[in-house]
Amino acid sequence: MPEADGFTWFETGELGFAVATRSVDVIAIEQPEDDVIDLSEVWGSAPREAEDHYFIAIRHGEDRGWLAAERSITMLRASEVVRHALPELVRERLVSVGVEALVERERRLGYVLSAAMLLRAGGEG
Amino acid sequence: MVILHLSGAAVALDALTVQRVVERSTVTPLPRAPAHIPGLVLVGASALPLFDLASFLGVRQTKRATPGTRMVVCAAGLHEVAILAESLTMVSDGKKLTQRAPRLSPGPHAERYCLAELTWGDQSVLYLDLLAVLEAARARG
Repeated sequence: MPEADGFTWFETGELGFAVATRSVDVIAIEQPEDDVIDLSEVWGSAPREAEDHYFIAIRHGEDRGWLAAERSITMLRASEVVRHALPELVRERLVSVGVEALVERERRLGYVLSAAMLLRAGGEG
Repeated sequence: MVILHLSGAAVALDALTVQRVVERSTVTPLPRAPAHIPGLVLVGASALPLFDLASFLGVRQTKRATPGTRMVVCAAGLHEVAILAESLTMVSDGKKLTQRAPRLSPGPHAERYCLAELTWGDQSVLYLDLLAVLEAARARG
């Protein structure tokens, strides 16, 4: 079992993302009937044509939504990544698109998405 | 004082703001990135914004300009950034720099953050207020 304070790492295009594993409800290989949160609008690299898609249901309180991932999903212990605060120069921009921190994994940076912020934005959209 | 040679201009920064110089590394793209912040880079144990100062100042690129191949890690106020530069020069003797009356700066935004205009050899150098530059360069929401 992954640690409750770990991260679920996934990739779309050239970008790496992570969500807190405690926010993950279900991981599925079938396209969900509910809408999938479209990361491409902000990030420009959400999977569109890739054959291997996975879907991650995230939950915050009563709210639930789906994210799409390409290729693979990796459950990481908190000790397997280095967490970085958001740099001041770009903090406001990143918070506005649902990023709450950065994580470093094998000398690669990924964006930690906040389930609360993503689901709130989805609800407002 | 440290002189950064950018693509098309030279700027001087207070030496106390400069922390280290490293080779350019892999850039993690930033969502809806402004031209002057192409992404984030890992420098040692820090994740830093990559800052294209020449782009922010609106400096016209010289014909022989090449993209900055080095990153100069600088800190001012709450900000820590990696600035793209072709090369840099440490100037320990301020007498080698001559201050002159400001004239037209090499970019439309440069004069706004220019504390003084200096000459280094036959080259014009803008002495910048780095904190003012970075406060103005923030990527807003």
